[in-house]
Amino acid sequence: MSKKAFETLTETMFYVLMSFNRRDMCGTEIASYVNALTRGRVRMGPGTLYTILSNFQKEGLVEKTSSQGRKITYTITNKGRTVYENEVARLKQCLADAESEAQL
Amino acid sequence: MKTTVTRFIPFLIHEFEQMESWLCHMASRGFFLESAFWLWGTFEKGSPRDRKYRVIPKAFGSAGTEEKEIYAASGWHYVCAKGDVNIFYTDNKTAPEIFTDSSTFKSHLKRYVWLSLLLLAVILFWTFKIVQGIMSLQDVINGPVTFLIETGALAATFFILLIIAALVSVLRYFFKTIFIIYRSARGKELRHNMPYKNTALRNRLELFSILILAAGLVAGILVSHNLPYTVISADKTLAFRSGRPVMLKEIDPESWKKVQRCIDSEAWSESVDYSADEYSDALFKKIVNICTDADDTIFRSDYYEARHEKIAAQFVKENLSYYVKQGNTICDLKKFRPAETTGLDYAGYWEEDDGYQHLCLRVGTKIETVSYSGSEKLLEHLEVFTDDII
Repeated sequence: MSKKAFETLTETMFYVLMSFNRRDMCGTEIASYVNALTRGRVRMGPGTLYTILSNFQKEGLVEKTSSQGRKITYTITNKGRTVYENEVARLKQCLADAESEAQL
Repeated sequence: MKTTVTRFIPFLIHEFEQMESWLCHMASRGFFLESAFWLWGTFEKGSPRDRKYRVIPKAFGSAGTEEKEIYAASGWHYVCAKGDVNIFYTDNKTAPEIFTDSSTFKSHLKRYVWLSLLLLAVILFWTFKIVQGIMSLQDVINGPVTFLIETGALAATFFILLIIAALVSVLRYFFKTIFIIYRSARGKELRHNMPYKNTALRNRLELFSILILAAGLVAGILVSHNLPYTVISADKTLAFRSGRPVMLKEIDPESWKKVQRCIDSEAWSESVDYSADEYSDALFKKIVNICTDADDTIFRSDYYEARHEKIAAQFVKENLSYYVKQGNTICDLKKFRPAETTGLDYAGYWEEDDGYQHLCLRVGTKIETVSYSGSEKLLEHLEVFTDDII
């Protein structure tokens, strides 16, 4: 996946990066977190999650922090945080545009 | 006590969508996949259950512990790997699909798609090279008997058929792969509950025919190894003698003397060459070839004894059609020299622009052909040839 592909994140990619806001997490924790946060609206299949984590690692957006048995914990990198913040700003801008359009 | 059974898995890697439907069907009959090796799967026998299977092309090799952990947390359990796919199952009806996002599925398939294309290129390249190596276009155009008379032709025939059967599989693989690439590029997700029966039947038939052809190939190789085959070459200086066909000494004694001197003295000069071989094959009981090249004289005579008259007739027909295509006009000696060709079923003569003379005679299953370039006139010795074959 090219770096350009991450200029706009898909919904699941966005939630995966968001899950690192409070603490480092392993794959299963990310899936549970996203499911709870979105009240089941965003269901992330294991193939989707694993592919996202692998691609994020390859592009340096997240990195492994520890590995205990089967459990591998990831943390967000500065690059990952920048991508996430850019996406939040982009989405805010989209929302602001939509609201101003609605007020006209 | 745990009971296991082994079953043939009638799907190739690129048919992973059909394979998962079949595995679900097997589970509904009480057979649960435990492990797989090549085309075979070991199933545990149990109570029939509504179990969902998912067959996913590998993106990063076999599933690692972390991947299995993530899948298990979502209710999907790893079964085994089969070739280039990983197999998972779930008994939880509310478990999310493995891929819930088409863009990640597309990214996941990248490795599979590239490997497929690479494999395809390698297979097509070698298919082309092998086919090109074992047969010339002329052999095919000329006719089946001409092609089959070549040494090891029986094995080659099965080999070509095998290549064709394999090519059909490769083409199916190619189109299916292209279809998967197309679907992946369009962001489509995996399809589930695909009908599988026709694919399974076709694969079984395909495998069966490939096995039959492979057995034919082995038999062909064994037969060609066991057939008597004698090569008498110049350097062995054997004074080859055969009742048939007519030899150079019978029509051109002067040229033969040169060859004989070489045979006797075992000293061969570059301008004199002599070789002969005798063998049989699936279509002919006996084939004798003699080839002599002495300075300006070139002489080649062949004697064939076919296993059936129709084979002999067809061979003559193919042989003549080759020369006709080269622009030669064949003279039917049965019509123009009936007295000298009595008793023959066919007698043809033609002369090429460069003076090369040819004679082709047939009686029942026996054929004698001669090609000669030298100082003598072949037709003046027609009686020698007719006496030889009748």
